Amino acid sequence: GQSSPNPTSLKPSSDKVTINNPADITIIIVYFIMVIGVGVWSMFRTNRGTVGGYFLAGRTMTWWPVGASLFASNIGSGHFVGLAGTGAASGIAVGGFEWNALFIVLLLGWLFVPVYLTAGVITMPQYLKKRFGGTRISLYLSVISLFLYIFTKISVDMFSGAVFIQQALGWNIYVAVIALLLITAVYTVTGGLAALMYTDTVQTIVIIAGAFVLTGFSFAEVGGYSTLLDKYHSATPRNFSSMDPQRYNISPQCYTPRPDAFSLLRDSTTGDLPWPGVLFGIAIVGGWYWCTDQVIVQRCLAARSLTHVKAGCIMCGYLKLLPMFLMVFPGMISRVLYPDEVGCVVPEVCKQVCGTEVGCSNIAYPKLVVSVMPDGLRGLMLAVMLAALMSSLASIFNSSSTLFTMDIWTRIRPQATERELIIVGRVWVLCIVAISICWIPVVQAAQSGQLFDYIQSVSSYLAPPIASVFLLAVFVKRVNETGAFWGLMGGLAMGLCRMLPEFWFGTGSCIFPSNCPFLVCGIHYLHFAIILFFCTSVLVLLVSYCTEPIDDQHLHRLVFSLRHSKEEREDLDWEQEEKGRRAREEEKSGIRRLVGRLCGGGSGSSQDQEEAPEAAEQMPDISEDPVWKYIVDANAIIMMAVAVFMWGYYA
Amino acid sequence: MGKLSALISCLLLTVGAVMAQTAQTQVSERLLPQWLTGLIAVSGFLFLTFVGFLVKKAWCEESSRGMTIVESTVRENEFAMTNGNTYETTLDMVRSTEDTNAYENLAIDGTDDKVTAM
Repeated sequence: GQSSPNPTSLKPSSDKVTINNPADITIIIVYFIMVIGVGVWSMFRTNRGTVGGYFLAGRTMTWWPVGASLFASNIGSGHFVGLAGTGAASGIAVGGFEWNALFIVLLLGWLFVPVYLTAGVITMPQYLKKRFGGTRISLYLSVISLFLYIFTKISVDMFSGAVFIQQALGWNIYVAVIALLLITAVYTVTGGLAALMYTDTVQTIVIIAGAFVLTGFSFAEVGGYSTLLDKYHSATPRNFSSMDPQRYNISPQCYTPRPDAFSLLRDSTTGDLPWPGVLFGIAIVGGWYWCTDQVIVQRCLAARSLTHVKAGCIMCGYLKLLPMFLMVFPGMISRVLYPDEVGCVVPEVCKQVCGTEVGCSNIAYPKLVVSVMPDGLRGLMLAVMLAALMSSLASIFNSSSTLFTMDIWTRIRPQATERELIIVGRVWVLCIVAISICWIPVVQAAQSGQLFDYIQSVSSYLAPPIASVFLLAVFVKRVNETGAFWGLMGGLAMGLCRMLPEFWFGTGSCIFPSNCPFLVCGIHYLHFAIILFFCTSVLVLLVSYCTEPIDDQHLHRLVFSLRHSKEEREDLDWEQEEKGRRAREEEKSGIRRLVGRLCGGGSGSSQDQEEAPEAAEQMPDISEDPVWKYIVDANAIIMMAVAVFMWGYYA
Repeated sequence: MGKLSALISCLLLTVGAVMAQTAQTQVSERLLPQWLTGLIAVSGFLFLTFVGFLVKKAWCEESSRGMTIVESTVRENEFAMTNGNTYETTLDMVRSTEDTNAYENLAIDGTDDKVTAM
């Protein structure tokens, strides 16, 4: 029969737990002291006065900061809220996003980083500039990367941080986010990449320790792993009948847990994450994220040697096994324990519970923190969320400042000296913090629960062309500038043709499906990513074969087959470098003349030799000690075997 | 090469697992226990990695053998080409570097007349 919702039987949404006991507060203060302390210590370890020192940590990092930084930069608060929420709503398939990365991170270390290292570049657009010549490709990549950072990574992490803060703490959202951003900006601006990577190591330890604790408590609360397997399928809410039958009806599939909830690979037509998409679509988007994106690659470029890069990638891979158990399963436990809140389906009920009508699966993780964790440990979980949020945001700030400084600013002012570039980098971080703060109202307005779908879609529609161009640039010598450019433009056009109509019509929900026509929205976004990748590759190869090739002498150490060659390379962008060098010389000599006139010729050669703001003079060495090479390769195979076992177990 | 075969193996095994999966409606009715599926996947992966190793070794040996054949043919061609090509080259090849007079006939070119005493 019809059960009218009794407001008093629902947990009121103002059931916020304020952190006001000494144990919680102590833990939070200790956490902040640790992070800031590590940041300050690392400031004195590396020379941040040079471009290489500031943006690439002086290329002195060992494997464990590299691995930890890769993991912490990737895992943001978005993962906690998003993985747990999607796990609560539809099961473990969302963990496929994490477990696919195990293989992609190995591609990064073995195939892509050797090429980036011998090329001697700092940013990815710089690599494309050297590889293809011309400036339009690198400009396009810089702009679209900055766009994707702001609209996907920053917004999703801030949204998730906001959800957590509002649900678990009841703080004023603006105060909390601004305070967080300012603390992050402080150690990003002053310390550069070195500070980031060492603090990321601390953040990783905090994240894993705290998440383990919560997982332990959650499993204890629900009664064990097998109980979870049984109870999940019956975790339906009490209120599931429509309150306004004229407007909408609620079909049972909208609130019943999926029967294939515990399998990673689902049916290719009826599944919400079809298996070809999970295997290949996520690999393509992952290829963009891990192998071609500035945030991740910059951490690998800061390593001491190629062996350290590979070891760091393996460590990151092992760490990426954990989110399934630390975030997805607790999300499902949350739905089992609180089906009426996390699994709510009636729009009016959901609005009361979490403020959005579409669904409340996003509150899965914060709900656990509030309800399951004892006093004192809630402070730890807050520290975990802060760690995830700050580490991701700091990495994005640093990398976007690298991109802006090395690619956009050097175009505007080719005569910029190193000191000027470092200052510009720091100022840009402050600018992007301001942009992120202005983004908060947009994030709040979009709190329709759809933000994660939008993020995944935006990545799937815009990233595959970039992944395809980079893959072809590294492995196919025949690809030239015209092919790459028109491939990127064609891919962008195709992606926008799908993205803009889908945003216009909206993705809808189970109760109110969107009226997007089948032609546009019928194909799953992961399948569309696969199609887009192949279309872009075909276009790139077609145009490249119809135009002139690039000579080998321009390609030494820029492609995989020539990565070991020791011959002299004629840079395709030498004109620009010459212009920049001449402009810097003019400025320097102009200043010297002025100073000479002012000081009566006493300046002499007091100006220190400022190197051109490129990578270090000597080429980074990608030779490896054979013993360590075998050890690292064997470890990689072991890690892949573990990954394959996990995939097979949960398939 | 190893990576590619690993990915292919992963694909093949998971395709097999999925085909077994999509036939059923209830998740509890698996044809094989989960740990067994996992073990089969791992053994398949290790087997394909091993095969990849052998292929890579065979390929490298062939390519290095091919390289030495190419190098020796190039050297042979050089010898063949310098036979009676240019005077300087031939002369340089046989000219001794230590003793510049090694191939001069000192007896004929010498200024001393050897006169037997009568």
